[in-house]
Amino acid sequence: MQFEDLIDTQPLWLNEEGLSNEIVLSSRIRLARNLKGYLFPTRAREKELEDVSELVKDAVTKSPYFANGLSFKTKHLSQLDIEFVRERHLLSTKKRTVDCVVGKGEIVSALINEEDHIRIQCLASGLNIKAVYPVIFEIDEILSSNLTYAFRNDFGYLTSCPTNVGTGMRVSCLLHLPGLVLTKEINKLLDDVMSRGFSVRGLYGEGSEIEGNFFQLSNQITLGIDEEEIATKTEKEIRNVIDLERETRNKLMREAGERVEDKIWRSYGILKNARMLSQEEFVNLSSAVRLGIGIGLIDNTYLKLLNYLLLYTAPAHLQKMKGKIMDADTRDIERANYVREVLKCT
Amino acid sequence: MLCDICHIKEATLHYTVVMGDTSTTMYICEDCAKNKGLLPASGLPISRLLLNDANMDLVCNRCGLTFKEFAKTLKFGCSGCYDVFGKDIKSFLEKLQGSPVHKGKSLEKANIETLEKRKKIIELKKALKKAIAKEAYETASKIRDELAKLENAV
Ligand SMILES: [Zn+2]
Ligand SMILES: [Zn+2]
Repeated sequence: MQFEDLIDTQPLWLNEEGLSNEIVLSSRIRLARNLKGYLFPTRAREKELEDVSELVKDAVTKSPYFANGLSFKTKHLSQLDIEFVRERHLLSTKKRTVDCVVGKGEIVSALINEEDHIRIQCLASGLNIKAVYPVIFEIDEILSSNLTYAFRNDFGYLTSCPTNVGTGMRVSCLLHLPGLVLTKEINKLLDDVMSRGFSVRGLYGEGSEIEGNFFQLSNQITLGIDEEEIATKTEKEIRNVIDLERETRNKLMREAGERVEDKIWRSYGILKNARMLSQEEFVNLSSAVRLGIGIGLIDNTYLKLLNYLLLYTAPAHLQKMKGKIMDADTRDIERANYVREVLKCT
Repeated sequence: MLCDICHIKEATLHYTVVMGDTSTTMYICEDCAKNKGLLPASGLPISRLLLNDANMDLVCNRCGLTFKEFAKTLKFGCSGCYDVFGKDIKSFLEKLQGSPVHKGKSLEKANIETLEKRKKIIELKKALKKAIAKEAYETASKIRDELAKLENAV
């Protein structure tokens, strides 16, 4: 597969399958690992990074999950392509030294020489931590039998940042919580969640704003707790948030049903008719429609389309699809055209 | 909840330290905040606070990172840093993570030999390319034999 083919293939984690898919978009586990005998990427020389990259790529491709995949270096990508892979959740920084290996369907990927020598991640749609868990550790096994990890018995897997040391494991889910936002119960909930050792961020990870009522919830603690416990505790926390969101939606419909319905159908109308849509507007309107699907107002065949649109209306995706760089106004026009076209066929 | 510093007074302020892709929260009483000169909602003073008992003069002999630099960036330079800063890092990790000891999967006996062999393979592959470019086919064939042997062993 070639880099340029990415835009034409949909990541499998975008499909609407998986549990609680009306609230959970996707589940992810990532592991941070480093090689013994090499400085961490921030302090390593270029030659050393090249050796690491060759070793890791060699080991990664031994896993069947990476068969028929794709491999690219951020150094060789244009500014637009960097944004494009960030929107696709394959990359979280703008660093230019990173090698990325992606498995078919973008279920698994490996970043080499980002903050750590190795970051492997596995994604699935919906609440699906249980499905992701064995996959990521199967890959880890293959890597650890082909490479020598930096590891100490007392501190576990050694990482560049002390917030990852130990298991190097981060479990996260992308949640859509419009009910809790509308009723303003979200802040208290987030405080509670954080006080229990979890962190919450926006749609595109580190430093991103909370947009369209999307929240990324993940474990914060990686040391003094084993991998299974991290997965179980995070899933429990997420299930708790899902229950609260469902309760709040029911309460909202009981107490302000007409108002909510009106907001949902108006948003739907704008998406189907607008001639210009900014990304922010699209994300917010589609959040209302997504809520409409969640409470059974709008047919749930729309869920897959919304997931698809969420990714493909992002600025870099839009420009890659059209095959040209566009200014903000042109993007807004093309975005509106594209949304109308996709929603028409239902 | 009691103050994370004095463990005596009731904590009324909380501070979040954001680092890398995660953050940690500390609960502190007003007096301790004043004593430590902490600014509200600011991350940096806390990281200093967490490390304030550490020996700032330590230097990692592998990557050259000083403890001072670590206190500023909160990023290690290599796995050797964990050896050099170990003692001071332990209490820091306990504050940051709630525990200083790994409980997860343990790595099977590190296979250094494999790594050495793989390094050698990469070097030989490079030499092979060079030899072919120079049309030194006899050398190239020798390298190929050596490579085949190593690759079978790995
Ligand atoms: Zn105090
Ligand atoms: Zn070091």
